[in-house]
Amino acid sequence: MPSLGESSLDEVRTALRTNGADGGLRLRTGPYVARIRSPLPEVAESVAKLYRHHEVAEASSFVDFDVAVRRPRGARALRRPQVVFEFEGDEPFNPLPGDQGFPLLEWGLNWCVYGLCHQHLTLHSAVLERGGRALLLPAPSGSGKSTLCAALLFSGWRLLSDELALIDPDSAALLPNPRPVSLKNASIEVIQRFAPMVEFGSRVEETAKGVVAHFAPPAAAVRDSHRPAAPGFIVFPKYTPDAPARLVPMERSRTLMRLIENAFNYDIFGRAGFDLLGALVDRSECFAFEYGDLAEAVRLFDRLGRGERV
Amino acid sequence: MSERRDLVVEALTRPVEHLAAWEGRHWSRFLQQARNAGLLARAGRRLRHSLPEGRPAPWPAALDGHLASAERVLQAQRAEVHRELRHIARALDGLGAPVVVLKGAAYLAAGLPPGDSRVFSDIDVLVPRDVIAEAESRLMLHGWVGTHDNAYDQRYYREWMHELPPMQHLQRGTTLDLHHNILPLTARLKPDSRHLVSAAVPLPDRPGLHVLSPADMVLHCVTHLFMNEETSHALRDLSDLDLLLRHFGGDDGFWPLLLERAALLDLRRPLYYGLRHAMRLLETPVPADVVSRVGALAPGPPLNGLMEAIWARALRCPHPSAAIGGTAAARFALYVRGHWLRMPPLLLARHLTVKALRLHERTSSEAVTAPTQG
Amino acid sequence: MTAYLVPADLTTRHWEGEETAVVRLDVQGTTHLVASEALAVVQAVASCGEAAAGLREIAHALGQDITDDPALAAGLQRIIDGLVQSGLLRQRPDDAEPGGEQPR
Repeated sequence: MPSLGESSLDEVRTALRTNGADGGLRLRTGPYVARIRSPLPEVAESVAKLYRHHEVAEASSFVDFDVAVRRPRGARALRRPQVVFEFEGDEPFNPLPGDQGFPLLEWGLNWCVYGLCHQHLTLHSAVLERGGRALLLPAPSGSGKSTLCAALLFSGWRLLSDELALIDPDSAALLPNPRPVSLKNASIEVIQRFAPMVEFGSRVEETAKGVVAHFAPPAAAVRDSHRPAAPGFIVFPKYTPDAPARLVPMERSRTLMRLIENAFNYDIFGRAGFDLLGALVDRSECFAFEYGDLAEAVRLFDRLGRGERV
Repeated sequence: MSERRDLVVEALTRPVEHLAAWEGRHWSRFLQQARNAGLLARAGRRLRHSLPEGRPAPWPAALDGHLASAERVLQAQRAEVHRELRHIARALDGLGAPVVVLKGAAYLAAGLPPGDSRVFSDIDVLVPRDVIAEAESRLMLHGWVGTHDNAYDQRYYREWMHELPPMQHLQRGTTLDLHHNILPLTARLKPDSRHLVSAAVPLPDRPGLHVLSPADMVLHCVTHLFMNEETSHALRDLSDLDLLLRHFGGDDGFWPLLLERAALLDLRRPLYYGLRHAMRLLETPVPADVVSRVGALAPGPPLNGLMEAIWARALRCPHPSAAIGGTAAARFALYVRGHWLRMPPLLLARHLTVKALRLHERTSSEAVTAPTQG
Repeated sequence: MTAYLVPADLTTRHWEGEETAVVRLDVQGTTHLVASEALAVVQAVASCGEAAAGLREIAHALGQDITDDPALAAGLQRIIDGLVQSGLLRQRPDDAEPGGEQPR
């Protein structure tokens, strides 16, 4: 199947701009096909660059999410340029200032998965894989999870997702859903130094949250996105400046409770969710992790991934 | 796809051979329309049941995931409704008057077909008007709080409407609508809720809680559907009506009683609309003699033609892809009509003006803001 | 005497040797992280089976004797009260008076 990188920027722009039943750009991301439309040039540029390894689906394909990022309709649009996320004809959220179109698209696509897709249990967590074993990094923002995940995916770990862990309810396997990786503020420079060859898309200022930028997931990760990963490790990261890298075993009961707290749809799964996450914890080695130096952290994970005692 | 087809209605009514002709793009469109109409779980069940044994599904495997997702949400909501009903029964224990559960929660509690496959939101409960103040106090003692703090809304609900402002539970976050009638005090039609309460049927496994009798339940469904100002769930409510009629209609005594109760409760016109459109859109079986007796309840020709056109448009699933020309205008006309039937004209003008201002406030402050990424 | 029982819909995940356990109440729809001492109290109530599990019986099932030990009794009662408030234990409806009178 063709990847988006084989199309020119013009072709991408045209597809995104075309309305009507056959219009839009259909991209496969993990188990899902999203139909994306946007008239905005900066969105077209970002999509062309950051989704270049992703597979383009045919016009007749089944579409799981129909989304758009455009200017809001009506008088408000005239005052200051804004962008709004559209899902299947609705605008479920407030608009954002004009240049946040691509981050809004990414945020909206995450929302589609964690808000609508209860065929799997979804955790707020990064997921990577090595040697057939998954590594979960569950954590809210600011924990250093994103920086660590970005470094690991350049260091021998396959990216499944930097944001959403999709757990198969029958097998407890982790389902890949690799998409553009987002980083904020200082993390952008840290990763640019760590992996000089990485190409970031445009840096965008988010109101009161600082700067966000994305880079495309590795082609190999996208290519392998049909291949689930068995449970392996669950690690709760915490970045503390100057702290030595340390993995401390964590009680399984506490791990289970923290996974529940980081789950988007635990309530919807009910008892089955309790059993599923319990099974995931059963089959994983569980740790709390503190680090101050990224390279040191990566080395420690390298040993973990190779089965050495840490 | 240039034609504006209502794929949800087709999925609910057509045989699987017809659906086998659908392509990937039709199934995508169906998913969107069904999600929008709140009918994904119900349509999904119907699709699976209509598939003969051993025959592979004509829909893409990817759709199965969404149908499974809708089922899962359904089960979670059902558990929540059961939980809420327990809490409500406990809070209103000793009220000394029947507590009648209405709509979705009633279908579920009574084990009726629409309860098997419905998206639930608020719980609606009816008590006699003379105990409504006490019911409200008891609920507040058990953790429910009132909403709609401003004086205008309080007055709207308490003086003009048939229900109190919605109550929300402080800890659980669930919503409860407490009614003393099924139509507002200011409406043109005046069903006497004492009839509803006296005919209500106790729920065997929930002491203190009741549901409406079958005929009254059907009449409430048509009333809610056709008198209401919000038409975004019209197709779902019509589907509930279809399932209720199929379930109760097998009993011969049901139909004469339905007509009798409609007359007693002053709800003949909504019944006409309900049966007419359920038959037209969802092929609900209705005995011939009932059809002719109900036909006599239709409004005269000019109004009838206009209302037919309005309802045909408004009952289509609300997703833009199923909209046909004039739908937005039709919905607006129904919105105004809904209010007109519920409120005298002078009050209506005032109410619509205030509501328009409220809507603006709500759009800017209640819509969810995109949270922090990452 | 107040007697207690364990709700029928209570499920536990406890890994041996850990200080905490996770408990879920299906009907109530809540999940709790509980200290293993609290879990031990729940298990003690469960072990009493059909017999009325009051404070003394629960202590006994835990291998303790609350006679002449008001501090132990008070501590145990506090744990029980906390469990009742979360829904992990229920109060049994009052049983018949001793001496063979008819239950009301």
